Amino acid sequence: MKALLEEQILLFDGGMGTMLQQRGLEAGALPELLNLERPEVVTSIHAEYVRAGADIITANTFQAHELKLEGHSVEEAARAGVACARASGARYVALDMGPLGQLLEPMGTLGFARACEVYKRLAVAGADAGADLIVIETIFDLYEAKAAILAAKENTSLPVFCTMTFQEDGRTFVGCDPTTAAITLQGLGVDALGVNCSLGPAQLRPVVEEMLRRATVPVMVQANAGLPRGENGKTVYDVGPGEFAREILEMVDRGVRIVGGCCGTTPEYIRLLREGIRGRRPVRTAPVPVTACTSGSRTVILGGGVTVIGERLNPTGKKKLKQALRDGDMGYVIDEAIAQAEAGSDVLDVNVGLPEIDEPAVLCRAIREVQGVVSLPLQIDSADPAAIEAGVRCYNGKPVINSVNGKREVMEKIFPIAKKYGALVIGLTLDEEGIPPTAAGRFEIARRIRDTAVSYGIPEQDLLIDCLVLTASAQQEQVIETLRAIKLVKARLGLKTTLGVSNVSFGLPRRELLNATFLAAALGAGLDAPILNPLSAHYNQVLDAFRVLDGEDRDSRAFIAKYAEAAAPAEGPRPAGELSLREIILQGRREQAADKVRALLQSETALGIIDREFIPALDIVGGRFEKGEIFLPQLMQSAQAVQNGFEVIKAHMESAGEQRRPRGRVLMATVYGDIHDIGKNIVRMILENYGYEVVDLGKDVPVQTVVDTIRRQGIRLAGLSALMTTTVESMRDTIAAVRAAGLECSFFVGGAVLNEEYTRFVGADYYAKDAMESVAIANRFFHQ
Amino acid sequence: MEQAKKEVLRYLGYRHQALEPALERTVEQCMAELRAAAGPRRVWRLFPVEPQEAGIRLGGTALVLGGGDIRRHLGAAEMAAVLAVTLGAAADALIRRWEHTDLTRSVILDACATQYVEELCDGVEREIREEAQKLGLEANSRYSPGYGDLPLEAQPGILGVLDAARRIGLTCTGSLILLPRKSVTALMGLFPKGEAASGGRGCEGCALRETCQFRKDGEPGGCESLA
Repeated sequence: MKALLEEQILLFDGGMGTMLQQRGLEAGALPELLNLERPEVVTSIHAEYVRAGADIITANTFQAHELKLEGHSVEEAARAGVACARASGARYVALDMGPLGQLLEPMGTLGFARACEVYKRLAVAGADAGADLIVIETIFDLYEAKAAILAAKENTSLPVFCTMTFQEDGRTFVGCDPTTAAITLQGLGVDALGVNCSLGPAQLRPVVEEMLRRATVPVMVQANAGLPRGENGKTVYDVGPGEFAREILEMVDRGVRIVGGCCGTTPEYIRLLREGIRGRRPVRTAPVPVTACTSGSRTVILGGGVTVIGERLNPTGKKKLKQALRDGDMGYVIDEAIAQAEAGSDVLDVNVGLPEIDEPAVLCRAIREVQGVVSLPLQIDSADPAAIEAGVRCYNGKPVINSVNGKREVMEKIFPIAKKYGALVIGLTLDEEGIPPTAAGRFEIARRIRDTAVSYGIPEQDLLIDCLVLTASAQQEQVIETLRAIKLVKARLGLKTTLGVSNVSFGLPRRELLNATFLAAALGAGLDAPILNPLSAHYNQVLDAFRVLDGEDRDSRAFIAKYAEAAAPAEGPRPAGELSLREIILQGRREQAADKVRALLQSETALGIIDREFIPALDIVGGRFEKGEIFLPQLMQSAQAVQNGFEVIKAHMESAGEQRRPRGRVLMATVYGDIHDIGKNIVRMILENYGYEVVDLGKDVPVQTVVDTIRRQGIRLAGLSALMTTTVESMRDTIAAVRAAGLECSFFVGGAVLNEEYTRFVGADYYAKDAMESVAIANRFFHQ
Repeated sequence: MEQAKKEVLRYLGYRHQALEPALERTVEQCMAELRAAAGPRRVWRLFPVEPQEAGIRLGGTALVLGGGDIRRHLGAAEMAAVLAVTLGAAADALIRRWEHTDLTRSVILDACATQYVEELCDGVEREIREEAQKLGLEANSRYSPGYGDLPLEAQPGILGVLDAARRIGLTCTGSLILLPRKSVTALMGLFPKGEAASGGRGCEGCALRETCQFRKDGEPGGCESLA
């Protein structure tokens, strides 16, 4: 197949759904069942496409997976599907794998590992049935494409083609652009990539051209016959076979190598394509090699400007992050990720390495949570190859691996992972002998890393070299060697470089001054991607200035916008304010709460502030809310003011070595199957305001997780939320399971569909109609 | 926009309390931010209505909708319009992103999204009424799975007949939650002129009457009493 692609344009078939509907298939029925029930109809459609000249017939297995099929096994449906295609006289038969029909985490609830399993079963069934290749198509989530590709490549030896579906705005439904798709898919080792369905050929042209600029593997296009519209209750398409063929053949002349049709196309469309292809040979394209990493919706291409890698998601030297990781509290991780993204990072490093945790599992969880809120590509950072592989696998996109070095053993472990998942890799210029003292020595290691990577089939542009910084206080003469090594690597190997900057100042005063100066020098030497703290003002000033000097900040626009008005202090000290803490809370002035609490701590104890300020103010706010004098956002602004004050109190008690005694511990969870957690989050905040410790298990929480947590942590009061009538069942199951486990825990429940009646139905003890009621329940439970 | 803002405030439980200008401004910003982020898409189709023993069958499909309420809604109709609207994954992402750093903003954005998706449904409803007009028919109101005795279990079938995953990226979880979250599916009946039910939306016909937050809060007229 691969050899064939070098020599000729391959022609797929056209629409199956269209043809089935012409033969009376009902909309919404599962067409895959026809492979078993009416094989002769399916085969006759395939045969029409064979007669029209298609090289490859797509078996009718688009949704022949276990999430959709009922009454028949995946194996039966796939076997019958491949057999129908084979019986048509097809030259090649492709097993078709479409989307699973459910969104993957973090957008949805379907787990990545589960998606891989579902695809695996279909891929294996198709291969066993004798398919010649696998085509993964109509995908709009890159993550789902990854699951399907891994399933196909890990469990079969068939060629894998993957096409995605795009909208008029040039993106998929979940925001993936053609460059991101092309770079990520070819990294995963597909044999062809491209676009199908979506739109008519004319509207797809920009998408296809963008892919042709990026793709190093053949590009494939299966467009719709234009745009659909309803006509007398039937769906019709507005591009005829002649126009369709003209448009597609133009794409062939620009380098597309595999063509066919999707919705609305018929054998006539394919026949005209066949006529046009005759006499045409594959046109070579010239994609420019780039060093790029991606997330599910964004690509960062290194070079042509500074790429900032945020370093703060790393527990080394960070007590709070360590504690959060040990507790499994991802809130802290998420906050750091958002803060770094807002501060202008291009890529975020993620490291969760702590001796006492299950690093692969925690790393995957951190990656999932961060990818749920930040669209930047991530750099997966660990000393443990197992954690690296787990992280790279569950990641959505083409990540950066941090790192390998010149040690043979390390390269042998990491390069196969980088190759398989198409990751960028950072190579540190050290080896068994340590860090060479000279630039030439580090350059030699960089070259060795490059050569070894290439021997694993990793494209050399997928390497980033880190020439390593030593501290100026201990090895002053070495600092300049780092800069020299960067120049050598850039000039002689043409590779991109990265560098952790802050080490240089270790052991000296005014570290930020040294760091900023060194950053400027390293950028001057050609550093592409500094790893640094993006929240540091000193770094940002250097970056802003450098971007003017190297021409990246065109006409200094960003610089002027940021600094021209700096004369007026943007973040100057706020007026001290005459408001009391209570008034600040009542008015919901959350930006003033922290300062006020700090001031009060001079004369008042932490507990005193909680008991005499926070709680009475909250009681007033709560009372007003109950009476309808204020509405939800106003209640929440007051609660956020208290929350900000609480942060100060917590830090104060920690530094004073005081132990905070919570008023009680409450478990909270949005039940299994439900993902509506805003209500739960509001309740959590208000409970915390009142001094309760909340163990928040998040949303879509499996029953067993609730049972285990209650048992392990000795929880006596738990709050569950559910929004849907369907998930109220899950609430009942959760409570029943806890009771069956013999645990003494009381439950309060809430959520849009809940009421007193449902509360009895699910077996809960209390019904909380809103957040204030939850507090009242907790107060009664723990203090009466 | 003023009407839209009123609706957003209504979803946030606003009952004519004093509204400080800063909060009102935040609501306006959130509306703009949400609309800029959202990728609204919709799809609708007409089907002949075929009442059967088991329920209302949509002609040319395998979908049969069970229950007394949908029979009342569509039973006498000539055709049914099936519609789906979504704000797309980006709206969800925006709400989720603020959940972590500013919960109030997240809640306001959530209400903005609810309002926006309703507004889009109103737009689709208008298109359908125009189409009905062309066919010499008139339409009743929108009715969604989860109302009355039309179960949420109907959701996958409705998405199926619209090919909604392919057309607008709308899917449904194993627990029958629509994803992206800010999405609606609904059914309207198309009747010979003069035969469409009034389309009145009072509490009597509303399936949410038992759990309606407005009624729980002592507004006997439900959401209508605040309009």
